[in-house]
Amino acid sequence: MENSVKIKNLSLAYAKRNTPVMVGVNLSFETGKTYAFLGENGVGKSTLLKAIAGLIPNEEGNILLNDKPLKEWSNNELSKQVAIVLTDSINHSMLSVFDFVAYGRYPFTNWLGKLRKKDIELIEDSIALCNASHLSNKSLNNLSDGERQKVMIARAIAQETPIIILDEPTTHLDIRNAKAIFKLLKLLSTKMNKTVLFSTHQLSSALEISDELVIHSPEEVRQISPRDYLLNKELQFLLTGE
Amino acid sequence: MKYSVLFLILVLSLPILFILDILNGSVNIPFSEFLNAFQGIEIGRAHEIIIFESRIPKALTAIVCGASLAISGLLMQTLFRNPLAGPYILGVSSGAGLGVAIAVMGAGAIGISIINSSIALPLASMLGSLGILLVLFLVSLKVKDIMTLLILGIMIGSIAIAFIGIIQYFTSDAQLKSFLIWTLGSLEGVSYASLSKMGSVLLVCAVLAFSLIKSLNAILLGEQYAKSLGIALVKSRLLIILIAGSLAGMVTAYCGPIGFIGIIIPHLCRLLFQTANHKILIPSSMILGASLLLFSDLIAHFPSGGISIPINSITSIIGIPIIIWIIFNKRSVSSSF
Repeated sequence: MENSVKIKNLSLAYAKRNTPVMVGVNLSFETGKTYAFLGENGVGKSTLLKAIAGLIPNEEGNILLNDKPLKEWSNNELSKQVAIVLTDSINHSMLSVFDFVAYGRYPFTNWLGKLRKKDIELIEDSIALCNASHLSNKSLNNLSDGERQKVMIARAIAQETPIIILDEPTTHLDIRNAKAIFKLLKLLSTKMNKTVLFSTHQLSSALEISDELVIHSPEEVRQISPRDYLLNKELQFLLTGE
Repeated sequence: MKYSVLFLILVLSLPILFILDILNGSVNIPFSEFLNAFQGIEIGRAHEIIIFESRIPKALTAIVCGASLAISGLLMQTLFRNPLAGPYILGVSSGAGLGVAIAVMGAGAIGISIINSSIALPLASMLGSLGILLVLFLVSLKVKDIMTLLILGIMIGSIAIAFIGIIQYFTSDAQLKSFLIWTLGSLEGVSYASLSKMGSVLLVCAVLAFSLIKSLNAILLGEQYAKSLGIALVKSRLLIILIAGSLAGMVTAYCGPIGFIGIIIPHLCRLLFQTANHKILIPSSMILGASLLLFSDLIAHFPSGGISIPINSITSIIGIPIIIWIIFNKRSVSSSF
């Protein structure tokens, strides 16, 4: 299967702490689908997402990207497959929105980072897709939280990767902005055929837009469809305490 | 377009300051005589010696040192994503100082004076800074966190300064004085042979820095974003440390510690060009660094009567108000990283 991600018997630990965050995780993600990662704070959602993006080495088990272990991908190859939106808010005063989104083209440009016509079009299209064209010349530190998050996502889109990973993309956002972001994520998977993995605490939106849920509990990580989740009272109690 | 005009002004300021620096000094050289000297027209032997043996090497030294310190500072600020990082913060300059202190006072203890040696002093300084660099290099292999490395740099620098203090305490007045003179920094007395060595190091480092433009830009977004953009982070960081450390060590070796150029120049360039792109910041920092050190040297020799003020005092007097201004404008500065 093209652009699939399979996780086999994965164990992850926080850096420099011997206690494992999770043990024996098995998951699988398909092209063009949206996956919501749910669970309490500190349960390891970010760690798992970063591991899938190749930013954290795994202790045991394998993450397979197109059936090839992640460890065997070079940094540059991987940057053409997986884009990530982290929770770090970047407020750089000397970077315009356009310049920031242009970072997405780094894996494809020459050593000087020279943008070709195609790159510029792609950057503009990515910004437009996120409804941020009017912000293009603004500096990053002059954006609202909602605007900034759109721009962060635009950068990941400009990276043109089949897989996009987002760590809590709607934290700090008001209802309207959060809805807009979720809508955008759905669009990425349905229209652009990307695999979208994101973590969130907004259960109702996750149920609404995602094809499958990945539910973290201290004991295990489970992959389940929204429908099956709604029928599983035990799992609901585990996640929501109700 | 605004950029290219600004850049042009910067580029033009360099030869103007260069010539002014050659003309100005305890003996003033008229401009017409300077032109004659270059056209092979006979001028006074004394003026010829002053121009070719003293002023030109000194002005070239200012250019090489200014450009080197500016690149070094820019790279360190980007590496540590810290607006107050500079060649001194890694402890490289202190390491150079420690090397010189050990050499000068050690040699003094056995009755030899090496303060005027053209080999021993640069060698001791280079060894000192390379020693510190080596320690940081090894630490950076173990410690991935960039802030830890910065703190370690400060600690190592402080230890070096403490050792210098101890050595000074047990040393003779004459040796102490010669060491203190070195710490004041001087652009004078660098031979053409030394200059060509310095120039070569600068050239190699500048080319390497240019090859790292994308890595440097990506590092501004943080470690994880840089990695996810396909940057070979470990390799880039090591190269950045090597370039920044070598340049700072080299300048300290030949001219003593020259403060503040490394910290302020990158900030001035960011503000002037309103950009974070190293494609613009590297060349503009080099030119502005060279210009500012030439300007400092001009001021250092401005008092009449053959007096010259130590260059380090001038760069401090120019640099510190700029740093204070930077701190007061913290909002815009700290969000440049």
